[in-house]
Amino acid sequence: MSIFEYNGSAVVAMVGKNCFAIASDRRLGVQLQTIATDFQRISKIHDHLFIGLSGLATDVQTLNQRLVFRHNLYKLREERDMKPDTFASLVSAILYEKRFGPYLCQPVIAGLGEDNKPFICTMDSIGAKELAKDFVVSGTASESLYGACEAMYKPDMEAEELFETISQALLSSVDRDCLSGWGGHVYVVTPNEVKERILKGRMD
Amino acid sequence: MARYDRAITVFSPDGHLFQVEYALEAVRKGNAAVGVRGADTVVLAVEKKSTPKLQDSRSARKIVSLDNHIALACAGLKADARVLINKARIECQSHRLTLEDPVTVEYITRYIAGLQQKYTQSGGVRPFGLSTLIVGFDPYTRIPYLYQTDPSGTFSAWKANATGRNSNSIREFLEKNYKESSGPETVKLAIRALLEVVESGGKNIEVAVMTREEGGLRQLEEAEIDAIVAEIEAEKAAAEAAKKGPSKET
Repeated sequence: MSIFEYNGSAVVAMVGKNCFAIASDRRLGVQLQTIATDFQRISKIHDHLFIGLSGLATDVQTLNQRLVFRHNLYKLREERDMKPDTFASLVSAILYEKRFGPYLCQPVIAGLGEDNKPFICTMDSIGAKELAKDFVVSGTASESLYGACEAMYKPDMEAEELFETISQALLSSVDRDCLSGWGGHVYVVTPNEVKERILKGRMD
Repeated sequence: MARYDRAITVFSPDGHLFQVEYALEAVRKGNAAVGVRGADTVVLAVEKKSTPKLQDSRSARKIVSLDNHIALACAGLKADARVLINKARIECQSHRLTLEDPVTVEYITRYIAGLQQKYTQSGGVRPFGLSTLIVGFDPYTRIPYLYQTDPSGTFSAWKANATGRNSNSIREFLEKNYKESSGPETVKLAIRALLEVVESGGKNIEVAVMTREEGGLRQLEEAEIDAIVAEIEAEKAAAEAAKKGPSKET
């Protein structure tokens, strides 16, 4: 059994028309036992930048805290928020620092860059970035997520349609994975607002 | 290998630390800075020496945030200030990370003062040439505080204080005119105190305000400062006229 499958997780991000959505499941388990159904995998770095982390839960929490630390310092010194691509480089650097004793997480980063152009990327646990134009997935349910997103995704969706698509993709994928599920947590971000929604799926 | 263990700050025969006292001299030559603590507002005001025409005045900010709820102004060597401020900012974030709580104003003041003291008792280094005024609201209790530190590493809490050039005259003014205030009154008191030693006008003063409700540091625009300065001048003129008025009648 892989250490990446110890807690169970599913995270996905999709690009829409001048907006993006990032979603995760809510289960925290210890192998087969479910111990929490409201685990936060997605962190807001600033209004237009979110990071979702899948993998070992303790590293998810620690990495989240360290990244908030670094962004707060950046904000104090630069007097502005970090751009998503800059943030992705920062995450990649932090992960590679621990090359021979890594954080056991795979991040999914989603943000609105200059001119509100959506930006998404994912990386492996030692910081290899993978930029994408349409969607990125990570977690124990990633294989199902790849299939579901490939089938359901179409480019230039508006916020509401994007929400429906990402929610359906997430819920149908976690249903095929025993280690993730227990609902979903979806953030849909447009230049003017952030809509946070909780999904009720199969509670198992 | 060169040994950097020759202390620069040593005692004199009569018990003085001359390097620290010389550092205080450097502070006395720095620009004037005033801090006032109100019931729900804290204010920092700093003298802005005339900016050269070609300089971008925004880049030479004198009042800085250490965290969302703490701000600092200083008088003395600006280069030393940068180093101290950087270390303090990192400490604020480090505290948030390990204790999952923002720092209290006293904690970060103690940290900065501790740092300043360390440099008076280490080999091969000189003391920081600056005194700081630190303001903020404690998390949860939201009580306002104003602290001052100096190159020797001492710190204390104040209701209102000044440091830098002519700080003694400003402090005298504050002692005479301080009363419990809140909101815009606190801002006015800080500016009035600074105007005792600084040329009048928005372009010679930098003012920043933090209130309990808003949180966060707000730098006042030049126009806002000019408006308050105008109010103060009007009040002064009215007071002068009132003084002269009765004597004319007799």
